[in-house]
Amino acid sequence: MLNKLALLIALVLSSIFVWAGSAPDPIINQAKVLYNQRKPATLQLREAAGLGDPEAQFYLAEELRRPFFAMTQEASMWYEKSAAQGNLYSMYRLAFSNNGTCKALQTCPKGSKSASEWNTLLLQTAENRAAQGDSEAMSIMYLATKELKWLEKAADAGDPESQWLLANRYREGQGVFFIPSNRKKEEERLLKLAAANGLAIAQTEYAGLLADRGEHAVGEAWYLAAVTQSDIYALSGYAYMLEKGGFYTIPKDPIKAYAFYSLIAELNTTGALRDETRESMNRLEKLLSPSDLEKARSYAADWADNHPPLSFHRMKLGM
Amino acid sequence: MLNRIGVLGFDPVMAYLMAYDKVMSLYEALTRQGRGGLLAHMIISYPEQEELQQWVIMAPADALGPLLYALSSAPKGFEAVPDPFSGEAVKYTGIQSQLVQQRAISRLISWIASNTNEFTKHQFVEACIRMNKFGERPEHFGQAYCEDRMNLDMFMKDPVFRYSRPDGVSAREAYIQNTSLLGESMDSKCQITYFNRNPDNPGGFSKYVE
Repeated sequence: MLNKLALLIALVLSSIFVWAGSAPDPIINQAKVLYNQRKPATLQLREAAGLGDPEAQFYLAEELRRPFFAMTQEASMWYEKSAAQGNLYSMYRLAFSNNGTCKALQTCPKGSKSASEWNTLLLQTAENRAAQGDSEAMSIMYLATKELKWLEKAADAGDPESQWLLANRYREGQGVFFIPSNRKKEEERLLKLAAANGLAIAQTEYAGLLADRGEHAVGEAWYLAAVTQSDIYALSGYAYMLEKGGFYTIPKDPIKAYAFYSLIAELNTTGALRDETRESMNRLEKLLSPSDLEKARSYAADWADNHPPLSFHRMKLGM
Repeated sequence: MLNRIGVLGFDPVMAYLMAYDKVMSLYEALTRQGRGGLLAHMIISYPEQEELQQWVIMAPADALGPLLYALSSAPKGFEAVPDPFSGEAVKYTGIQSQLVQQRAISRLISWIASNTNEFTKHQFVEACIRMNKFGERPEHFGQAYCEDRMNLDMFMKDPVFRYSRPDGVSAREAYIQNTSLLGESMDSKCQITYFNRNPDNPGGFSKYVE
């Protein structure tokens, strides 16, 4: 129990530190918060991109490319601006984007370089940075070359997303292990590393791995670490666990469940999550009294005041 | 044709703007086996879920069948290849793919079941019979139903991310409830033999008996 508490305190402190430590320009920050909540953010991202932030320029281009993942003139322009500042993700998009739709519509943008020229520049830039120990550049090398050794280098160099992805790639059968049981051990070691490095998706996956083999209390602490980071999937799952019971050592608590559902509903996000959250709230509204609902709203407000903004923690070049 | 595109959540106006063969190749590319994860992601994240629901309710079985076929295909993590679709989402894993596929299957079926009547029951059974690449109705349709339905059930049995993503738990529970209602006319004619006692992965076969 003490171990569990110590772990949780350390995780909470580290996530608060990360939250408090990231305070860029408020316009840029707000645009990125909205992007990570999958909310319409084109206006804010345009403003942030105009300020010259290469990451905001990349996010804006990503927004402009949807739906259909089609490259448009404006998206291409922002990718190029971002790539000119050395953003490897933008270079990747320019090198590998799908042009099928724009070709069908005859609207493909005319960029300053061809896809193969962007690919050459991407490889040169990323390899140079990787040689200087840049773990993110190593992970881009993996994506661009498909060579697993780059993902292994990135994971060794401490990139949490690479640690998580490599754990999964091993799970999917990639990599060579002469002793088969070492594959499972390595998957777990990498997932734990990524979780300890604060990656929310790794924290929930590692929590699940522990619970699957009966280590519910430690698993719960890792799951709550992702909740504390306001990870939307973790919050949504936590609300379901509180509503139904039977997960980890989390007791049923419909009032708290309603509180967490309402935090997600307030986001007014799109897609299935919005509808599923509303359905869950409707279910609970039939069970809870007006004073219970009031308590839930108050709990949700307190919680929101003391945690970072809700986030999907979207991965660049991920879903 | 537009019904097929609509099922995938595309604006029909966009479909008009694209040449017929391009639209067809897009549909085929998305419903091809192994692309289930991307297709499922598009369904789950489509902003106007009600609009998509209307399309699904009205969709003919020969459009729903290939969708279920693709959605229940072996999940594969997308990798960094310069492919029209998989190159677009590189940091994605096989198990994430399986989860989103289960959620999308459950969601489609819950829409069909949202107003259960003879038409929707027939729509579901026919969609199962036509779970193949082109939505064709095989001559031995009873056996096709039993096999396809069992494949779908097996795909949905896997308790993916049981403790990491409980949205999968609720999706699997809803699937069991809704399919037993929609498939009741045919299920009693499927004689199932399991290979082992593992409830999460029993393996087995299903034979149609008149």
